Amino acid sequence: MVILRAVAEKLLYLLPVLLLVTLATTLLIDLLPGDPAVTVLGLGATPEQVERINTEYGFDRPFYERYVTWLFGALTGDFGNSLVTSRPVLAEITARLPVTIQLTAMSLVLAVVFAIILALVAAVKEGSKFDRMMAALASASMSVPPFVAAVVLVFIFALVLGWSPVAGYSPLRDGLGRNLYYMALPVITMAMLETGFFYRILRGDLGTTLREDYILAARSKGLGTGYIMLRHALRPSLFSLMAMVGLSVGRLLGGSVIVEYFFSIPGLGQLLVNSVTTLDIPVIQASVVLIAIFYVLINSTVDVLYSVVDPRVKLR
Amino acid sequence: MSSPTFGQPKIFSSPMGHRKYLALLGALTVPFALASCGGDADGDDQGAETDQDDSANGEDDASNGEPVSGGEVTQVISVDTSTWDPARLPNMNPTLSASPFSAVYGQLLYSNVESGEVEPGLAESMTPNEDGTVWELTLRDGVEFSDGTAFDAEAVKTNWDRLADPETSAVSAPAAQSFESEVIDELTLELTTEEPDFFLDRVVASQLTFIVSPTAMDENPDVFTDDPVGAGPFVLSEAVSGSHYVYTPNENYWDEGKPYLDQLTIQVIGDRQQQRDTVSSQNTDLFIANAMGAEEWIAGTDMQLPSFDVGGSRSMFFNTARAPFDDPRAREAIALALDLEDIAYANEPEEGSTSPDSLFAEDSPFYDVDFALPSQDPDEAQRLFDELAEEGSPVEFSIVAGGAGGTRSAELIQSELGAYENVTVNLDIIPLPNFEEQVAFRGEFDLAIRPGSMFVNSPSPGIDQLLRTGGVNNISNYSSDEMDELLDAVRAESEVEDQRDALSEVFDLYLEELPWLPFGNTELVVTHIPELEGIELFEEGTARYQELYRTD
Repeated sequence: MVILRAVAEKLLYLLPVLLLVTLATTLLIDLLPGDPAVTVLGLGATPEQVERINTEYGFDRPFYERYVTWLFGALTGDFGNSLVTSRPVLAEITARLPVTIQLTAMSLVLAVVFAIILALVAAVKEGSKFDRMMAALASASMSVPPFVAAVVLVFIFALVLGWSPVAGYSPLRDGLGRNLYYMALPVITMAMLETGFFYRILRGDLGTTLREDYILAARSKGLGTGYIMLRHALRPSLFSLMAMVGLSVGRLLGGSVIVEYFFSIPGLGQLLVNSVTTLDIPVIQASVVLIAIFYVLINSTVDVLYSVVDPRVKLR
Repeated sequence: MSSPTFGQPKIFSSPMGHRKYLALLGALTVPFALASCGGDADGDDQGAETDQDDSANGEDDASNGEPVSGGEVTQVISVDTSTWDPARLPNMNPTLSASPFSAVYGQLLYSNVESGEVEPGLAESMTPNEDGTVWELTLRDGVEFSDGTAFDAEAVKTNWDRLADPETSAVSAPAAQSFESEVIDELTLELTTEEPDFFLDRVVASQLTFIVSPTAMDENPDVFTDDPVGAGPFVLSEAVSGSHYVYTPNENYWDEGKPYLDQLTIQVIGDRQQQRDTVSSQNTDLFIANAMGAEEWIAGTDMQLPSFDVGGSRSMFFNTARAPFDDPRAREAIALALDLEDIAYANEPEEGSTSPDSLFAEDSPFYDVDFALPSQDPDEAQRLFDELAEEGSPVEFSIVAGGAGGTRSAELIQSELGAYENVTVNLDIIPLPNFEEQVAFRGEFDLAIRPGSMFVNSPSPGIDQLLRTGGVNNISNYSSDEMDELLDAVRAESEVEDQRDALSEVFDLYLEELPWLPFGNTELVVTHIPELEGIELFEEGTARYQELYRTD
């Protein structure tokens, strides 16, 4: 019950945040240079044609009117139609969203798993060559942005080794193996940066935990090092990592914009890039808001999960 | 620092430690190992697989030069097909929507990529009367759309009427509005123009060539979004928007035995470097684009690079509707001041990037019509700048450009003109999506560098639309009654020799007026695997997909 009440309270607090996010998004899009109708119609567009499109989509109405109309539509699941494809925006997004979720989730899981394994090993071997090497590698991976990592990885794994395609995508319905064949490089690209962050956080926390008295007590009882690391040291050290994971979801969603475009992965990020290029306002608006909502929801979920991991944290 | 209270080194003194390292390394390679298995197991690794029986036949038949049925081909294009509506097709660029459209809709008429000559497609012929005011379009007998409905004269007229309707806001509306069409019988349409136009077949081939099933337009709300219905060689069987389109043969295709391929996949890769890397790693069977330097991409691979000479240019446009470039002397001064070779190379720093010596391809009958851009003459340029300054109209202007190539060219122009007196240049670098609105629609520019290449394979619609008052591509806002009359004269000539003479007069006036300045050549890159044959290109370089076949 306590958790349910906490979740309900969190959702209540989300409302003003979401209102602000949608308002800010609409305002920012309003400041975008260019006339979407002209971009859609192309060379030879006549003023009459432009006016017709602007009236049809409401681009000629004041900002607050458009925002209110959009908000009421969004509340009923109607985000309008894409300017470019004429498909419902919701259909465009729902077709792309699973791909981005898969990419983000796989990157996140890969980063967390590798960070935990490497941090545990490095913490046990504190001060060793491996520990120092991992510290250097973590710093390096944190300082390499995805667009640089992508180029380097393509060069090594696709062009030199020929293990991976340069770009492309295969849906899960065509087979898991084939899907992974195309997703491997984008996932590793996105996971690299996060692995560095996660490793640094967890390695630091593990170092602190391992100096606690109860770890010494466990050692004195003759428990194995592996058992101590996994059962006694890891869980209390995950607190900061969880907060970091919440933040990194937002970073991964942002990073997916570049990675999806670069690797031609048909996710939400690629849709956003294409929509900005074509000034497809309804799609931009819905995509940005959706990413913001995800970000806020994930962070709220992490807040709730704190109490699960650490009983000392009380939910209000 | 090691902890004084915890003897951690113990674990790593265990032999298991080294195994863990190895396990980590192994885990890193798992996705690739799985991936390799996945690709091979499915056996459809980017068109690399063909049926064994077909393969054997292929070798025999290929050695005889006969097309072989079967196999799959993957082609890479750069921009996703956002709609299947021909009304929204911006141009015939093969790396944009023209390729996906061509596979599904086929073409009414083809315009040869090099010569510009019109060839039959779904229409058997299009012939003019003696004075070029009435054309007869004859369709092939027995052609059906993939939904089984008849591909007849009424269907063609319905499509063209829709494009001509202002409510449709079609990009090709001016072309569709340039004639009246009347259905004579099931297979014949009569097209009537107000003025003689012996180039109307080329207009149809380049702007009105894709025909959609009227039944599908009436009854299928998804016909322009997900379920296009045409009479082309393929039907769309799978679409992963933003990634790839898979086509299978159209069972109703009129030309028996074609298409030869079992499957065509058109893959979208937006990033230019990724496109090159895809070609370099032979992850695609076919790549066609306006680009340069392809020799470097395919070095060390088996990829073929057949030569296709195409017309067109990379160009800068003067806004002739406002100062300072409403004065032809200001335009001439810029043309004389600049080293166009350098501007071309800055725009596209690749081997083969140079200034054009003709707007037409070598195979075009219009290739050698006199067209000599003024050579660089700094002294004369300075004299013109001084003259204009003395008259109180100094040459002060902004260059509107977008994209990396346009920006580099703009910066070089600013730098080169910095050596002259009485000329001031500012840069206005804008996002590419805003280019058409600011330059073409609002006309808010002095000098604009058009992104990419401008394709030309015929005096009309190519040159005509650039120079005619109100022409779709007349970005310069150039308006001259004399030029319009000269362009009419080109259209009114039925014989090539006479057309060449008339075009020569157009070029004479153009060189006097210089409303736009072509500074760079354009090249068509076609790279393909050696096993791919039947590459015949039309318009700006789109493949005739029904002719493609594999020899392996």
